[in-house]
Amino acid sequence: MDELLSYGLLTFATLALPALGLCLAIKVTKYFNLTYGDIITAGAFLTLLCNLTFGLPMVISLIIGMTFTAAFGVFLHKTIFKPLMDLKVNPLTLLVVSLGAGFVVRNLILIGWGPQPFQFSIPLARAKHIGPLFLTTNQIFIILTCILVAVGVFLMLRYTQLGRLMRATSDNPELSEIRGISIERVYVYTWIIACALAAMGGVFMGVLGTIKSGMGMGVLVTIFACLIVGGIDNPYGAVFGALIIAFAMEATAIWISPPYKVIAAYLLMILILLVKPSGLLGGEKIQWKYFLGFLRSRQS
Amino acid sequence: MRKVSIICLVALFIGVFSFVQPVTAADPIHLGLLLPYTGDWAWVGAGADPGGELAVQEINADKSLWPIGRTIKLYKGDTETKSKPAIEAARKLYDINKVVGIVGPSSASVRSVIPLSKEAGAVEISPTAGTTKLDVIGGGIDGEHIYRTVSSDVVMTAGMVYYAMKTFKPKIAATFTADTEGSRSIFGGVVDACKVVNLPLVAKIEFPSNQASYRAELKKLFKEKPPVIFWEANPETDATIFKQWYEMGLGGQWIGSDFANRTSAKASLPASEGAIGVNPGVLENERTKDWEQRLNKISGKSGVTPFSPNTYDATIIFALAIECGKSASRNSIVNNVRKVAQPPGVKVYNYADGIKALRAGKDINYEGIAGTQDWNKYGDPVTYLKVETMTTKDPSGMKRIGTVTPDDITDIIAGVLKIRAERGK
Repeated sequence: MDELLSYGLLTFATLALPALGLCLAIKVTKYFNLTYGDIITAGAFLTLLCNLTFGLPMVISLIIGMTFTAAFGVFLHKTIFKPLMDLKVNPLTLLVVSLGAGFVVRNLILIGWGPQPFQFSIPLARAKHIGPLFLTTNQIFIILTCILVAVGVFLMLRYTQLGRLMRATSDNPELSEIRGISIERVYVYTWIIACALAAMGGVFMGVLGTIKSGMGMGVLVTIFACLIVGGIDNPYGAVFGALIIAFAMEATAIWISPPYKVIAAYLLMILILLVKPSGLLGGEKIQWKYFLGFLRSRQS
Repeated sequence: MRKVSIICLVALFIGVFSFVQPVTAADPIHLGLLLPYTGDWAWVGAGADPGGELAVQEINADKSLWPIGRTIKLYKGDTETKSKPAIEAARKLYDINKVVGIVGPSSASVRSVIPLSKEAGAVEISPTAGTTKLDVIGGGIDGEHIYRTVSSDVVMTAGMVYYAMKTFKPKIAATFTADTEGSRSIFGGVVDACKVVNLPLVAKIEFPSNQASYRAELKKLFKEKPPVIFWEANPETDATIFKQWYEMGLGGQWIGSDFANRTSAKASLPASEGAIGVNPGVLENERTKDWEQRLNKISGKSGVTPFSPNTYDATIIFALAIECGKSASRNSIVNNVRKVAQPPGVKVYNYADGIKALRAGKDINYEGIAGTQDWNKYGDPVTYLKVETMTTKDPSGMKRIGTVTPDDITDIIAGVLKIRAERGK
């Protein structure tokens, strides 16, 4: 049980922030952006550049990496997705375009860094027993940072002007615009937050494992599983989903068989879709209305 | 009317001759290089590729030594470390690029491409596929002209177990392998070799590659504290495994295959300090040192990149087979590929000597950089095995600490083959 707690928390720390970021992006912008996996990778590599190439300390590298990843996300939004949204293309088109954009980003990283894996310049450390946990100092720092950042985002959504604007825009973009809210500005802020969280998640994955060009895309399906389990339109649900998926995966690895841990995540996702399609903490079936709307428009 | 007839005849003449272009001395011979340039084993393609490039550069360097007076041009295909893209790439190489044969692919897709090569009547020489699935096919049997310039995993795993027994004398051991065809091949070889030497395996853990965490797997692996762990995974997975193994303070001696190489060391050091790789190796002599320097100019890297000697040898064997048969037709290569690579011909140690000997009417036996390349009936060589350890003390990340000769492992290989034959019954 002790090992489940430690390993589950570590896997949770790698999934929670990207899941939260992607949830915000989907909730506000109203389309599934598959470039997000490669934004996670870009964040890790930008931080790696600062840490390994320029020799900057890890925390400073992370801050710079998050900043540039956020800027990169806004650049993608402004140059690719906003023009398409202005043309009022359907969400499926945006989904396909985001897949293509992700492919470009991934291959640019591959050209720049090559296919080999990298590691941050961090000293190795032995894990220690702290209560029921068996973790290194870095791992404890990562888990705590993950929880603090997630709580910070929740507080921002609940109590700040930006959070209120984001919630209003996600609930009813047309009405928000009539009430004078700059929807585009909200989109930009959402992308900044989502991409910064993606970068942080990518760096955590890199610190706990390795950094490689396909790392973000590889974890994207698991992140979607977190969203579906927790509730795709609910930021709390995204983090809760990450917790459930992380512990389900590690429990499967410990008590059943390691190769089945990925399958466990997807089985859980399918089960939730069958039993409660809106997710454990999701509202009504709001998350599918975009696709359903699209299908209806095709039928008509 | 007569004018029209003449014009039609001229047009027909031009049309026919524009399609039927004779092969001239200036036309290069097209050779396929089919490797995993992307995907999980992208490092295999990146490592092997410079070997092919170097071979072609050396073949084309001196006009007087061109095979049948023509240069060689490489056409590259990417398997993406998967079967379907490998088949598509091979189809393109054969049908569009009109290659005379293929150097490649890796274990991940080699069996998928064999039917295409058989259909094309062409030779396929894999420089990287150690999979034991090829142990009883190929070599021209049933029209499957698949050969290898890399040893079967049976040889490598015999070497891994031999070295473990000789050096660490363990009473128990464990396996830790990825759930890929290549790694399952290593797993099968280790299991059988351990049976031959009566070494009980207390844990046999298989895992998916490229996961963020292997802590649960490692915990299971070390439940009975095995002093030796036979493992295989790709470099990315290695990096994660070793980092987490170090953090957990689990101990044990890791012994790996050809996947325990410089790429893997670069990714996983310093956590993997002391991990051992037993794999087909270049002998350490002046010839190979000189070759390494030439390779470094092509690759832009120091040291021997993974599988580059094997790719070099495969490409050279193609060129020599073309010269031997005085033809670049696929059928001629099929008929001559064995003649240039194995006894009873006179031993030649480089391409130039091979071409000269062939032109002097001699039979040749090309002795490669990666090994003697003397094939058995299934087209498989038995090469020397080098033993290396991962260390931060060497700039390349690997330091050679020993050699396992074919004589050392003859008994284990024989035992493994006997077990497999009995299992086959």
